[in-house]
Amino acid sequence: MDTLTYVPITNYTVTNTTTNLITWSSIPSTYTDLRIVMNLIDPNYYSALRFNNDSSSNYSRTYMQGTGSAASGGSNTNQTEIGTGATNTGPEYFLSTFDIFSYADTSKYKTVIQRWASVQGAETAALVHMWRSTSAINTITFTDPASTYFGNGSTFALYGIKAA
Amino acid sequence: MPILGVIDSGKSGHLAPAANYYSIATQTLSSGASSITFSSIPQIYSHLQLRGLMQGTYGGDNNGAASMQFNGNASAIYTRRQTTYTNGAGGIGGYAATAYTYASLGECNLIGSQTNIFGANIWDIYDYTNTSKTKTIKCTGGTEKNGSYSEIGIFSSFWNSTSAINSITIYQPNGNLATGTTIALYGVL
Repeated sequence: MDTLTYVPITNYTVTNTTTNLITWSSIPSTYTDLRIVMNLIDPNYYSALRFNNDSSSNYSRTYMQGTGSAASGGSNTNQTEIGTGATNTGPEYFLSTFDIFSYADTSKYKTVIQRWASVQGAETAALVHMWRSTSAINTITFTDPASTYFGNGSTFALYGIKAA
Repeated sequence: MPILGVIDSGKSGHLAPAANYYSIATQTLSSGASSITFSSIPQIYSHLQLRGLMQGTYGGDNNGAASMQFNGNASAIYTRRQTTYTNGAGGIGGYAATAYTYASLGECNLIGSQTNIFGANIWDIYDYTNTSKTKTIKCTGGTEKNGSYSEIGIFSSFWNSTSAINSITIYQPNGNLATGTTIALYGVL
């Protein structure tokens, strides 16, 4: 008997202009993968997430992006956070998904596949992130490192996917 | 519903329960193996999705392709297309090929010293039971290594067959799959 999964765990909607920190804690370890769906209105252009409040240089990413007329890519090593933002400066409507694989597996570093589209930046991208830790992820924090705020109406949703 | 600590007054309401995504089977390797096969796949879904972490035993801290065959078919009727960015090894680029004997799409980290690092992939197989269509598969995959040979890519393959897919074999052409490789199969109604 196949098992229904892709379960909503929690979500958050920004309803003001003063929020620059969102924390999901006590994430249950009962799923196989996590998926975040983020619809971010960002007055600055840059947001970030961290796992288990780790702010050490344990994050890295590789990305490729296209504008319709040009494609480019790059890597960032030894980062203190997962940079989730686009390259546009100024207000950003930013749609993104994050797939976090085997988030509770204590034998593996954690890998995240992100896809995003930026309305203002007219860009789309695919990224792979790594958190060099074998710890199970139990807390996810969204921040705006530029000390601005998430736009009113931004939404963040967390889902759990459990393999048979 | 789990109770979570959410700072700054979380609101609810925009999450719709997903009632169409089913877990069918999972395989996790406790020792090296040449391949992973899902057989007797139920024919009741519209689409299939596979999600998984792959590591290959063919060494060198490099990357390998994740390869796939359907219904045990190894005829040269598969094609592949991809766009990838590889850190320190050619940058962004594309590749296409025809008359392959397998679908080639996704990332498999080839184990060297990086025993904790796996290539992550999401594969989507559309209309897998439709006997009037040839089969198309897409994948987003990446291996992040905090340095050279980190790679992200989008991939597609085509299996020139109208047969319904009832088995899927995943492997790495250059060597065995390593311990800890895990792939899960889901059905989408």
